[in-house]
Amino acid sequence: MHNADLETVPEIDDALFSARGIETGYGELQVLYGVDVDVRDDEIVLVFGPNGAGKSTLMKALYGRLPLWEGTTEIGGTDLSEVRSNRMIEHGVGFVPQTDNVFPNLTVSENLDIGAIHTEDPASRRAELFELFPRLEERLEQTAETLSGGERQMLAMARALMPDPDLLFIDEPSAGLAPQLIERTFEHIARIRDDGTAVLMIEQNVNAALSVADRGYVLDMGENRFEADAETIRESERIRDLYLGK
Amino acid sequence: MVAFVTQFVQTLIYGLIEGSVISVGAVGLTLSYGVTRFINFAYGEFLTYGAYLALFLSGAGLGLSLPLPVATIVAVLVVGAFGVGVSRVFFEPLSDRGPLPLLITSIGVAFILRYALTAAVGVSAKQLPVPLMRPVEVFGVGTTPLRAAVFLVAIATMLLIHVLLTYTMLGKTMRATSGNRNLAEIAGIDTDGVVRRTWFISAGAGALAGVLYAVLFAPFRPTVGFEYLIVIFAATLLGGIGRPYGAMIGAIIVGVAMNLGTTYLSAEYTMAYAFAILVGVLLFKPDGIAGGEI
Repeated sequence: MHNADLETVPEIDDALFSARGIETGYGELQVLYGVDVDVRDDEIVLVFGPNGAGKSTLMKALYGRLPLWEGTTEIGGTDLSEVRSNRMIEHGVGFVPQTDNVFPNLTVSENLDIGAIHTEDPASRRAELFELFPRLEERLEQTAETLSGGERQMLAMARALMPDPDLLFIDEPSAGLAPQLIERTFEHIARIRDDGTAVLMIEQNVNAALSVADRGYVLDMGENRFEADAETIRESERIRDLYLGK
Repeated sequence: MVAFVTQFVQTLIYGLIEGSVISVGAVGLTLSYGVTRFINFAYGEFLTYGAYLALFLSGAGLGLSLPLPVATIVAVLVVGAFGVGVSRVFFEPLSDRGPLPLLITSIGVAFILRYALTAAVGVSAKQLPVPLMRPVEVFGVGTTPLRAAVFLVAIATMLLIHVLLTYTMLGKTMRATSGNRNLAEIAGIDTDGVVRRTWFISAGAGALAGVLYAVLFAPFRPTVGFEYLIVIFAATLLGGIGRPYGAMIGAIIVGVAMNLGTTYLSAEYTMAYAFAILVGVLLFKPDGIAGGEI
């Protein structure tokens, strides 16, 4: 499967989070064939690639929603390979799924309460997040099902950020959002990084995501194809031709 | 005219009292549906076991004679724990098979529990040790202090469940698990633990409904819970299954409708009125059974 002219993906020594040789799939169907991903503690890392590359499967596997067939994940030296998703937050890892990412029957305030299960000082954390997402403070007593798409996305991120995780996985943050909201969503993600939470995201809207990302991985056919800093990816004609469209 | 109004108001009062008891049962059933997503046909047996346990603890057979309120509390706690045990033995192993296998299993569990009890206690009718009381009447309508107490216990239970769901972390995690179980796990909720606690509350509410029913409509037999299940289903579906506040309202409507039907149409068909409501909901408000979140 390997093309000889593809760069190997380097291992990063000072990574906060490392995934090595991830193999997994569904039933008999293998989707990932030895994927490596690293995230430093001050980075936004983007994983992108064509449809069916295994991006969403990778995110599920990294967050303990799918068992690993092979490979390891770790954060700050702690092995996460066997950790189930409902214990991830105790290890400082949060997750914002692409769809169904709020509790529709709960109010905004109650959604944040659920996020605060593993939060030491929920009140001050709320105040910090309302600075990032002031709209949520105006909607506190509304049920999440009544929110607009953009507001839901903010609530989903705020819920995941309540425990102040070291690392946040975000699955397709711009999916389904109106164009004018997409830019704002990536601004929010940049601020999440600046406030001390590293981000690993997958995103179809690669050009917009590269405006805030620090590094990126190209995933194709369940394998790493390419790794580089965001600027290199933006300027690479080969990547542009193969994965970004003209 | 005066007699008509008196009778009508009296019927409404009986309907409200019965509706309040139905609502305790319906809320218990709907809470467990909310987190497990299957209709538990064994739920009626929790009513039966609650009534029989209260009976034994308060004077019949075990050599104990606890006051009925104390016996009721013990019965609620024991049946609650029993419900958790039943779910672990019969339902948890099937929990990823979808609602239909679980529903059919619950019918089997209902038979096992009912006939085990029948084998142990026989089919003869039993009665809780409750005193006969004169009604307290104002303008010709009223009820006995005992029935008033049943009503108050049922209302207090509804308030307690409201407080649980709205103000406690357990209640919020129950609602979150009901609304979006995947996200509940992602958010760090121990959803298996939430489901077990919900089983406890559900079975306990069933037991309480059984005792209250037995106080209102003594005597009872081992089939009491199963027979009343149709009424509880009607209330639960009317309110939209999985929605506790809907179940409370549905229960009051069913209770009042059953008593109006009994008074003005025929007392022969009390259960049939509940069944008619059930069929009506399924025919005309199918959204009611599409499920929902607590």
